[in-house]
Amino acid sequence: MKCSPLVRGLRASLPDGLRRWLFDPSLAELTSEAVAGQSASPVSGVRIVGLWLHCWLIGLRAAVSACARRLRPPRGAEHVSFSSPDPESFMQSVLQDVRYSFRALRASRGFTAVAILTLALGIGVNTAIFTIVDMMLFRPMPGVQDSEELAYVMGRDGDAPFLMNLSYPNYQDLLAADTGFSDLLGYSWRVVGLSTAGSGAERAFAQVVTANYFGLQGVAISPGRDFTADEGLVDVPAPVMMITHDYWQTRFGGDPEVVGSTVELNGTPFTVVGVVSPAYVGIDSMLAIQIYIPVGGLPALAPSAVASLRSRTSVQFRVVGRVAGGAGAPQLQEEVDAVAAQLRDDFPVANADQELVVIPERAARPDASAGGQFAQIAVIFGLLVGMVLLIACANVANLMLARATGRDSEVAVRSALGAGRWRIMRQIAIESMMLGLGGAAAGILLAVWATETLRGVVAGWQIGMPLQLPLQTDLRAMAFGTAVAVLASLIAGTLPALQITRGDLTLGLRQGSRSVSAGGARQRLRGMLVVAQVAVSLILIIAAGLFLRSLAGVRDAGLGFETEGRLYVSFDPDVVGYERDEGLALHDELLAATRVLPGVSAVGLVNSEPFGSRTGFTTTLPERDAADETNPGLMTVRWRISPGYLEAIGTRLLRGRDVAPSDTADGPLVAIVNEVMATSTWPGEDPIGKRLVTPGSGRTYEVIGVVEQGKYMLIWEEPQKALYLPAAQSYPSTPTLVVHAQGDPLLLAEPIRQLLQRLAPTVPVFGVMTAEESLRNGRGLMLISLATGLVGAFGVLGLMLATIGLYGVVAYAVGQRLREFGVRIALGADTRSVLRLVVRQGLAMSAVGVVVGALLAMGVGRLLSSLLVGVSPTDPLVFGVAIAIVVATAAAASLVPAWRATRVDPVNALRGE
Amino acid sequence: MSTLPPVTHLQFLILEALRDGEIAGAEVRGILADHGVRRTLPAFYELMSRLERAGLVVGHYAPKLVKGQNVRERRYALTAAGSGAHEDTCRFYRSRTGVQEQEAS
Repeated sequence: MKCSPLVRGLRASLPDGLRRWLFDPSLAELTSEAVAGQSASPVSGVRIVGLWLHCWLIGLRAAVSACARRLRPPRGAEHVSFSSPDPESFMQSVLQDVRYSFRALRASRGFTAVAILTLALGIGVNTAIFTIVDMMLFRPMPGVQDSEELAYVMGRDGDAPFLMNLSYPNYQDLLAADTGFSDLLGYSWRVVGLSTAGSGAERAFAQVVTANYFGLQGVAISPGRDFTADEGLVDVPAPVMMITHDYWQTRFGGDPEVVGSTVELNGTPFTVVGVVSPAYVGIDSMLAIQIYIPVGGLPALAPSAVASLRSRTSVQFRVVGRVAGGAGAPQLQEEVDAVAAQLRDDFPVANADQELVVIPERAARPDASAGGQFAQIAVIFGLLVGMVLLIACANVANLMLARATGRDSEVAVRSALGAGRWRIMRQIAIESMMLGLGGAAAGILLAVWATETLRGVVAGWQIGMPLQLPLQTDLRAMAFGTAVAVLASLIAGTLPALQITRGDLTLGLRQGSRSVSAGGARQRLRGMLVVAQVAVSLILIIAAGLFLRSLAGVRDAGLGFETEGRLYVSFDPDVVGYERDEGLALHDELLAATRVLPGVSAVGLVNSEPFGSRTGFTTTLPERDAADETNPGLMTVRWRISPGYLEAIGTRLLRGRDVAPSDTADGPLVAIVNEVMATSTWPGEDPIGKRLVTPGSGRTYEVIGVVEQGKYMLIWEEPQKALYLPAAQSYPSTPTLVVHAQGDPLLLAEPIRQLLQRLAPTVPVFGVMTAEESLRNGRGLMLISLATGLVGAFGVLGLMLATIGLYGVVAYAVGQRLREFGVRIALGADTRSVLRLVVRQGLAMSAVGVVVGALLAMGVGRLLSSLLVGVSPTDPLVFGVAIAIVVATAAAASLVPAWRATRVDPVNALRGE
Repeated sequence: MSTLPPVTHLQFLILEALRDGEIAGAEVRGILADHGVRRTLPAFYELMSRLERAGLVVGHYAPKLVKGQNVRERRYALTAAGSGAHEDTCRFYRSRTGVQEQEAS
């Protein structure tokens, strides 16, 4: 079954009786129904969790009945006093309260449903976010032994905004050095073309790893065996590989014969030696890796890659070490600093500004190069969902207070019959706890649904690598959800309990239904709760507005390319063994054939779409500095482009000329630079005709043009230097075709796919998407899109709850003052003045909430500022619109009861007086 | 005077359904639904578990091929005690309603 870990977890958590008698047969029937197609939907996680909860409810009901039977006094026994200290009678009285509360909640079903739903929303979003944060920050790595002993060693190059991987030689030097690490592993990523007998090549995502990779992590391999030390050495005669359990199941149908068999990677035979344990989700838990290849297999996979294993400027290995017993982080950092200093001395060109940084494994999630940014995001989202819970609690407290008003007489009667304040409070507390548990059950279901949805969203992100979100809504998450529910219901229940039982409990009895014992205080308290709700929902709406403006602001943030009407089609001739010349010939044919397709206005090729995963870097130097051997050059983004690419993507050429078909491999080397590169390298001079050197390859390029500045890696990035090289002189092995369409670009997807199929039937095509989709779901905007969606949903939810709260308070106040309005109308007050009177009350409450909320939102905006693009955290437009929305909603919420106030019949009102 | 029947109406209905031989839980649930008795899966299997634990029916899992896929289902059969309880209940109602006498005459 699809969610078997979920089923296993749920099954294990049930007592034997419930599991054997209820859960197992029910699940069997559910599965059978789903397979037969009688059921509308397949057995989803939600249905299974529903089944599980239902089993628990039946079990609890049976336990309570059994308990009650045991405690029930024999017929004719003397009535047990409420205040009896006897534990058995205490238990009995608690059970009585439970039964009473159950009946009371059943009697007012509308209230119960709204309260449970409100709490469920608060608990659901909190549990869902907890599940993610728990996976990202707190859980040990699944399938890894003592993962808290692991630490990354990353490079930092001067003041670069992100951390870098290490070169293979630097990794080997680090391994040989005397540090507090007992062992260090290295890994990098690579796309390979996998084919088995009788099948065409398909793209697979592989990690190239050192031979100690699994041994160091203590990962089980079954079936099969781990890599041997020999297989980790460069140049092995018989290359081997391992596959993940998921890939084994999906690609090879779980066939045990796969181990020991041979498959082809990029046309070279590799022997599969093992399958990685299903418990292991990968060292980067969000990347869905399919194949592991030891470093010794790299020459067979890509002969040209061998040079990169010897180069100190090719930083492609991520390094993780196991910390030997007792070594602390400062000590490790000191030792690693010494290694970095040695590397700088020994290899000054390659390691000029490089420092090494030790990051504990947990702080490096989900991506070590991001430098722990997730913890900050987690805090922000934790805070925002906490606010939703706060609003939900305030709303339930408000509902309970409103309900309390009708219960004064009931409380007074119970009090008169001998129930003390404590007993009444306990009953109210039990009632709110029952609401809380109902909210927890519904909230956990909501969380399961939300995490499943999010899993789908993440799998759909286009960053050029397959993504996964290995989330489990397990006992921890459920325990968290239940704890939040208990806390929420206590918060929501305590205030009303205190209010209801305050003062003379018999007053309600004496005054009958017209009692308003402690009514003023209660109303004030409800008013304060509404103020808090309005304030918090304003904060959420402002946060959502800031993200929304960021999304819009990206257009003004200077992308340096156009997205409208553009289509990206990526294809991979490399994995089916295309050499450089064959690849270039294919490029030319494809470009020529695409150009004449109807609806195409421009077309070009590039090594990676903007913000894609195949963006490259190189180091460059102006020719005048090339003689200085100690100068390491400047880190520059490198694009490999065909003629016509700049026009197709919509990047403006400011000076000089575009790449032309005459810029062939045999011709003089040429390059186009961007604005920042031109002005920083040759300030005040004309860059056209100037010459650039790439120290790594020793090639010299003549600058032929300058293009506008753009964003290349991250939407937040500072302006970076960029270099555009002709594809004929700098071959992109896995290119992206960029098409500028006259109409809907997606209409061109199929014709281009067919073209490629005709020109190169074996070449796999991947990542066919519009530029808009790529920007939204790719590395460019995915975080902002997700944040806008989530925070927007929280904001709408918060405002909805606050509106209900405000409506309740104003409606109640109107109900209390109906006679007064009757008298006013009898004395000549017109409709407008009565309307104004009521709406003013609602607006006054929301005005206080708006002021408090706006002040707090300024602080929250500052917290969010690192995630915002092109918008100030105190953007007046966002604040203005958000306040207008909240005030308009508040006015609408007050208008309905106000209209009711104007319909009071003065005759009835005066008769009442 | 005859004693009260040993099973409830609902339990009697289930025993009656099993009188012709072993059937699957899903079928029993279907028969109950035909009589207007709708139970959720766990509630239904709680009902069956009571009968099983009382020794009136016996249940076991059996494999079943559905659309080429192997699934399993829980099947139930009447025990000797179950048949006895069914008979006792029938006898009770006959004695109270006189149906038997009318049929005999």
